[in-house]
Amino acid sequence: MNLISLKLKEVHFHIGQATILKSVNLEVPIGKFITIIGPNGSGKSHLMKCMAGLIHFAGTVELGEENLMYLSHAERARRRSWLGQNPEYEFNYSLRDCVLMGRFSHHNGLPGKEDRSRAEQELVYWGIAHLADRGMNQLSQGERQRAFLARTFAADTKLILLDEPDHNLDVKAKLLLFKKIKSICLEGATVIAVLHSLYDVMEHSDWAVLLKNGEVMDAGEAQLVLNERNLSKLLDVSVSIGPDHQGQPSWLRFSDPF
Amino acid sequence: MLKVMTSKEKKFMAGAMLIFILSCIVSLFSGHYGFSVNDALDVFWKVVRKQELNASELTLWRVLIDLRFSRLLATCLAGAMLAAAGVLSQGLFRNALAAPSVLGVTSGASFFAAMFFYLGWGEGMPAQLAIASVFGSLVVLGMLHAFFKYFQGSVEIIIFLGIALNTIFGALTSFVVMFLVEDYQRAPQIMQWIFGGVANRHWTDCLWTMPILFFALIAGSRIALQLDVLSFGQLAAQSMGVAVKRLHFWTITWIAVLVGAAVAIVGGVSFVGLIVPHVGRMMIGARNLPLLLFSAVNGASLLILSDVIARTLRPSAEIPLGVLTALLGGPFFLTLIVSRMRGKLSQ
Repeated sequence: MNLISLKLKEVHFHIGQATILKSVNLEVPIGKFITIIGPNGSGKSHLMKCMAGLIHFAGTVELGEENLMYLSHAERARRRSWLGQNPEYEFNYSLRDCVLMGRFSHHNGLPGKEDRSRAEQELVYWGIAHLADRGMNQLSQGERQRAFLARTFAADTKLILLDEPDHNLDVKAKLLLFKKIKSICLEGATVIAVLHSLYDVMEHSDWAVLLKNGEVMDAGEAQLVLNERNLSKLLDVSVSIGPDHQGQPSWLRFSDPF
Repeated sequence: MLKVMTSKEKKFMAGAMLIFILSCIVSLFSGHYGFSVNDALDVFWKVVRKQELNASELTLWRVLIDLRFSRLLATCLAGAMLAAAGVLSQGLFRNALAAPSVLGVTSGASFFAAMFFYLGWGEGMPAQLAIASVFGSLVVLGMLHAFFKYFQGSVEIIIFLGIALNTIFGALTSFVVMFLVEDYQRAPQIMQWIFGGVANRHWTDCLWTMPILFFALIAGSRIALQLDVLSFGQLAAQSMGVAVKRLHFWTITWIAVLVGAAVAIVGGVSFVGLIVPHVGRMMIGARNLPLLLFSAVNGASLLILSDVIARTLRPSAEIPLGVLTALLGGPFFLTLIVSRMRGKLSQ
């Protein structure tokens, strides 16, 4: 199995005069679930886009031994998949077509048998196989989000970048999401996600990146990094974390410091 | 097994082919000069066997080939090209209203053709006019693309920009025509550019567009598969392995070639690229590759039948083809806008 490591060196990103990311240096461990957390406007989504090589930035992102930006779009797509916030769609494609597009870099538009069976597996996993022939317009937002997740995971890449993947998902779908992430991490894939729910972050992630004002405030093992002091500083509220009877963190309390 | 079309799409395609063949027959046998299918077949066999034709048979042959077949070929090719361009441009701008005529691409092509004609560069030389109209489409598409980029791929804004460009190039064309009105020999010809029409077109004038249509459909098929992915947004398409910039470049090039070639043979015929892909999408679904082929066939049928109506409704003087398609397309466009806005408001 070829595992893919991800290294960011001195990544800067501006929009006009505004600096969005300031000298981000990161080396992400392989085969782990990594979450990026931070307040609104801290640059989480742009950091994800830089890691996916979707926008032009200063600095380098290395995927394995290669510079991400030197790879062709098709090569990038075979190495990493990305799901953005509020995914767009236009025209009423069937849900099955949507999921098959996740495998575009494998089939270039004309899906073969293997692509179809992978898409079918994902449709079944996400509990939307019975909706497969429906158009995207005829689905609820949650069902659509499941379809987009199915599309992203159907790509079978070793690096998966998810920007708020739990958006619009119900409890069951959220459990499916974390189960999926866990199982593909065990197979050696690396998953990086932006999440807002600190409960989910603490419960599921192996590693966490704390991002504030476009800079990495702290990054490391989730258990070490996600402490009261760090989170309070990151989110500008006072955070207290309570242990359950086994001594594991189980509840969070937030209050305005002022 | 690779599947280009599902069985449902194949059924619709077969239906479209049937309608196309019927339209061709209707077009060949309707018009001022009446003759039966038997007469036509008799003459046809005589020509095949290289037998002498008498005077009335010769007239029939001339009408059938020089008039009817010429019109048939011109409308068939132009219809297919305009509808195919419609599929590509709706896919490119990710908007079901973004047809070449709505965006001003057709009027840009008409303007440059009219301009060339006015300057006397294209008379009797369809190839030069074709280059002029391809250039015109490219100019408009280039402007649209620049705006599209400036507004970061906003799907709605493109229609407003297109309407503005359409107005500008429409006015410029009228301006050129004004100078030509007094030129009694050339005025009717230029009118044909603006209102669209296939009178005086000989079938040999249209043959050069056949390879264009053929190659455009082959290139378009590859483009269509990528436009499917593009419909989920530019970044998402890029993340799935589509080289978006290159896709934009080739799509724009082929739209320009198709619209330019169509305008060069039938003039400013609008709304084919709006109606045909839109109705097609409702029938066979959104996938661009089957839609492209389905629309090409339907576009041909639509323009062939429009031409039949244009010349039979008022036999004394035929209605310009472009006027007829605009009469059909205008209300259709209005309905689409209303239903789209209603959908947006209720969200």
